Amino acid sequence: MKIDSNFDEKQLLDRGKAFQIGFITAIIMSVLFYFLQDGIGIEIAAFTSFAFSLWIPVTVCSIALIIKDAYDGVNSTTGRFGITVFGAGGSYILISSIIFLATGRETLLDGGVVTESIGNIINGICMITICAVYWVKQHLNKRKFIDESSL
Amino acid sequence: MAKNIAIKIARAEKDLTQAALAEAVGISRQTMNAIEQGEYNPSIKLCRAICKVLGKSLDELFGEEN
Repeated sequence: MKIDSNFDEKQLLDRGKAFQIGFITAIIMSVLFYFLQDGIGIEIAAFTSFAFSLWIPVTVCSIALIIKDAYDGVNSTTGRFGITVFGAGGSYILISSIIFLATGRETLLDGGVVTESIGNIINGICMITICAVYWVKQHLNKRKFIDESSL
Repeated sequence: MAKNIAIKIARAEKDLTQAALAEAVGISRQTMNAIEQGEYNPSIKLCRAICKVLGKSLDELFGEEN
């Protein structure tokens, strides 16, 4: 039985749930940032606000997909390469941001405004987290499926 | 949900690995594992596909006693 989608029926169900979780997280982040900026009066650079609002829900959704084994399609292995590049990109962004902060080229706060550096750090952390969760899950799956010969 | 031992036994009779059965049915290995572990209730369409590959009836693999 081959279904049209690249994902089987269980994966489609799990993907739906993961996207719901991501959507709810996005709503929570939007409300949170509205509260921080307009409620409390904390000034946040637009990029940082965008980074939090985008990357946190994406990360939550991605982690839910990975944990439920609904990230890779049936017999698909292209996800591995993509996620590794993803993690490498995140590492580059995070390390660069930390170096720029350490050397004084960038700051976390500038005139009371939360700068873009925090947005870059969040970007990097989220990307690395997704990559790390994926490979940990791959390792756990490998261990789980090793002993399938015994009844 | 209880484990589905009948599928595991039928798979062993056909000398199929979990991955091979999953590929033959057209689902991921993780889903096949979830079905065998009783963690996921497959649709009737998927049940029939598994029965077809293993050469068993629905009752034999997914009957209440299993």
